[in-house]
Amino acid sequence: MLRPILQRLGSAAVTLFLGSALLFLVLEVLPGDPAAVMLGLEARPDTLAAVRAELGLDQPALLRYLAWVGGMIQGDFGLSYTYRVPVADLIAERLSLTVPLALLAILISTALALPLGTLAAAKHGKAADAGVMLFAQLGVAVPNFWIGLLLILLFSLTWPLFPVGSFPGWGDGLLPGLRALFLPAVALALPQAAILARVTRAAVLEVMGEDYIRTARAKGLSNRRILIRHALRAALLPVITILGLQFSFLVAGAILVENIFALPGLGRLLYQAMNQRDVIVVKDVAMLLAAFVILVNLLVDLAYLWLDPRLRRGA
Amino acid sequence: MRRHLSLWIGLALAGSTMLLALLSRLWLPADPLRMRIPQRLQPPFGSAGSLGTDAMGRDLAAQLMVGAWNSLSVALAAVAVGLTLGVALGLLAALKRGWVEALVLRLSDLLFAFPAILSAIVLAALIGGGAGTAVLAIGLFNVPVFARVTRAASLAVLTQDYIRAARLSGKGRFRLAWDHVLPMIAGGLIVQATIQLALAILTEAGLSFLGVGIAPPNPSWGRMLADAQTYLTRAPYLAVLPGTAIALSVLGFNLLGDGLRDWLDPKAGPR
Amino acid sequence: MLEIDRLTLTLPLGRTGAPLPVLENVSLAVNRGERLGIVGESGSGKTLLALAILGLLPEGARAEGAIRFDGVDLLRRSAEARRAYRGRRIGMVFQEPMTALHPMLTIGDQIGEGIALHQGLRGAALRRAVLELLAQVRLPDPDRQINAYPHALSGGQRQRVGLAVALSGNPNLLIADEPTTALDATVQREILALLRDLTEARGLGLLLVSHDLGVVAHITQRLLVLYAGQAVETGPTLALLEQPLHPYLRGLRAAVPRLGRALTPIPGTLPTPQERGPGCRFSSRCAWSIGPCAEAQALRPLKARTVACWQAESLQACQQAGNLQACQQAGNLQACQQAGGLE
Repeated sequence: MLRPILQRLGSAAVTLFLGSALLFLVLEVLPGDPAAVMLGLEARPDTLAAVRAELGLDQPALLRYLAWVGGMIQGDFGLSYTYRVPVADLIAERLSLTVPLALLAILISTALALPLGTLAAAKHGKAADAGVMLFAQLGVAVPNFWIGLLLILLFSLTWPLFPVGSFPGWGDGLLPGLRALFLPAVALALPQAAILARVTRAAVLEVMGEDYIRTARAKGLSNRRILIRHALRAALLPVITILGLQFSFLVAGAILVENIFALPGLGRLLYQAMNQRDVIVVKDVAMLLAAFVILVNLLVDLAYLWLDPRLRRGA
Repeated sequence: MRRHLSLWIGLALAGSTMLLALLSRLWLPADPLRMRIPQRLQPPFGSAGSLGTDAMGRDLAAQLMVGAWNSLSVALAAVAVGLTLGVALGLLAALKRGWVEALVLRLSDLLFAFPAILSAIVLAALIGGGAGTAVLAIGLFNVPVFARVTRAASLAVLTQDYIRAARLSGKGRFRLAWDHVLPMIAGGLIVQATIQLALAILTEAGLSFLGVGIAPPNPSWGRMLADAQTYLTRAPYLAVLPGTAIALSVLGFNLLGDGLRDWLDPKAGPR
Repeated sequence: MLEIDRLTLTLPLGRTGAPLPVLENVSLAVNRGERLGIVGESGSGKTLLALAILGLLPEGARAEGAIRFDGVDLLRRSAEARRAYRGRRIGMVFQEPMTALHPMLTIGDQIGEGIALHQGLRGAALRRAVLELLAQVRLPDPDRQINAYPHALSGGQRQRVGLAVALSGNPNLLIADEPTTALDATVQREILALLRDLTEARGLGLLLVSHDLGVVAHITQRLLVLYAGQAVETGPTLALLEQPLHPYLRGLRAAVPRLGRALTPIPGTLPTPQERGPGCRFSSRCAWSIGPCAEAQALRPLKARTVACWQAESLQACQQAGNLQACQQAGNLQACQQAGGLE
């Protein structure tokens, strides 16, 4: 059991290391002088020199890289050049929005996709199946930021059911916060649900042809129980894989959707930092988002080990 | 006809997107950049004719057509970048195995952790936005996709007996890849490229929406949607038209990809 | 208990998907405590027969005739009513112990599910019942194995679990479809002994489907021989094995490997449903095939059994006269008559 876990932890660590090195290389080494990037071409030489000294840019790149990574591991993300506050504080504040948003979106998409996909497989070739497949095709094709715009138009402007452009935080309890996050989460979730429904359908269909499903039938179990307890359980493995692969699209979608709904999350922070050319914040937030993707895929691998007893004995 | 339904619908939708894009190089209903403030915010099929005008009085039909050209060019260029690099890396991994393969797989994981919008923003912070940034960011994200597909398909081909025979006859590895492996996996790659093209159109729209894609004033579907935000209640058609254009073309290329897969490999069935 | 009356099964086959009969006019009966063997090559329709009894035929299959269980014709019951028979009245053991068990559920769960559904047991009582069943199928160390997943078990152990699953609804009839084909010879014998002991102890009827004469010879009392979807000979197992009447059964017996005797395989292959003609289906592979064999052969009673070959008596007489070799060389049984072999 231990060996496969360590293997996966190891490869995730390597990917994280490569990712940080790549980001550092692109943002701090390739441009030559990050201070010039941040201040623009017209910057005065003495201002440039001051910023260089402030950011420690006169040190060798390798040392700066090690200091950056070492700091991040200890929770020190450096100082934002534009906001003049620790990046860690900025991020912590924004995380309390982006993480619940992502979780809510995953929750909504799986809550939609698993029943729909299973239904389509159970009614293979019938009208319900065709309906789910149509939803799946349309759902993948429609951009989530467009869904966001239409949701605002319908449920905030035409019928003001949900607020837009304000996030009350979690101070007043769960409900106001969830209400503010609901529409953006739906916008994020619909395309995900479309993909997942399709994968669920295909996986359940494949599993229904297995010998052990016939055994379950021969036992006299009801179709419902066979579908849920036997078929869906085995079909969850490919579904979880796709959920993991889709997570990077969820991160990308969050950047867009947070901007449409004017939600102060990580995506919006990244976007603002880009416009202000705040290389330090861009570097930190990009690293954090990439790390999320890598960690979620690690979790998927570990979930596989947990769910599929055949793999537990080691690769 | 019914058997290849998705192929035909896909061909129709993707085909008309491409035709409109090509047509925009030859003929346009109006100058997409010309502003006519008195004629601003005209709804479709109204007095201004065709599909109406935006907040600056620019013709929407012309903007949509040029937008199709811009969107498709960026998407095609990005997929071409991803295809070239990805196939090369995937073949290399399948032929060399060992540490080369491990490196390619790790590199794939790495690039996969940077969705196109994330890397586009990072690049935009450095060099600014634009079509080049979009092509680079979307292209890089496509590399691991093609690398993985190519590696898996090539490994399957390389275990076949006739490949072993060719190898024994003394053919070089790269000669072998060119003569025997690439033709065998080309069908799968075309299908994948079609589907990635759909995704690239979607991503490009997102980048232009954020302002890091195609640079204004050059029209793009994403940018039109971004501009529409301000007039959402007053002129909802400004959001509906470009959104529909994106959705239909993405749907078209997705269906085309699915249809091609069924056509090339009828056994595999819809997935 | 189980009575099958002229069962005909059709399946959409081939490129055109036209319905073709895979099983024709097959009748049989199994009573409580009785063990019936069904023998035939793969493709003879024996697995479909088993699935038809359970109501688990593949989509598009059609069954005609009657399958009566305790007098109720199952073919005339609704899908939901048929489900009530599965597990509770009729249990089934499948061929592939590797794939017939769910890889992600413990064996305790898979057996307990049937006991909970059919006997309504829960909690500690359920666990006790599962452990008892595991002990009955002689799975070593049941206290530990109850939490094991199928992949951790050997092939023979998995088949014991498969048997426990089949018995979990406490059925009256057990159907075993090639239960030992995937197993080693020694394990095979253990499982067969277990099947015999369990059916005897519980007074179960057993329908044992196999391509292997040796397997059915071990534990069945009666035999039904299938060839290309038709029954060609039925009767007491011992009699059929000692004195096969139908040329096909004769050939099957000669094809059983035995020490110190040359193995004679049956020439040719089983005709597929598309290739089947109107006459005796075995005639294309039969050493004694002559003119009248081109006509359909119905089962007819002969001594204590039934057989579907018009030459059965001549064949037997020939053998008793010791002229079988000569007959075979002449290509028909007329040679026997000339040699004075027939009365």
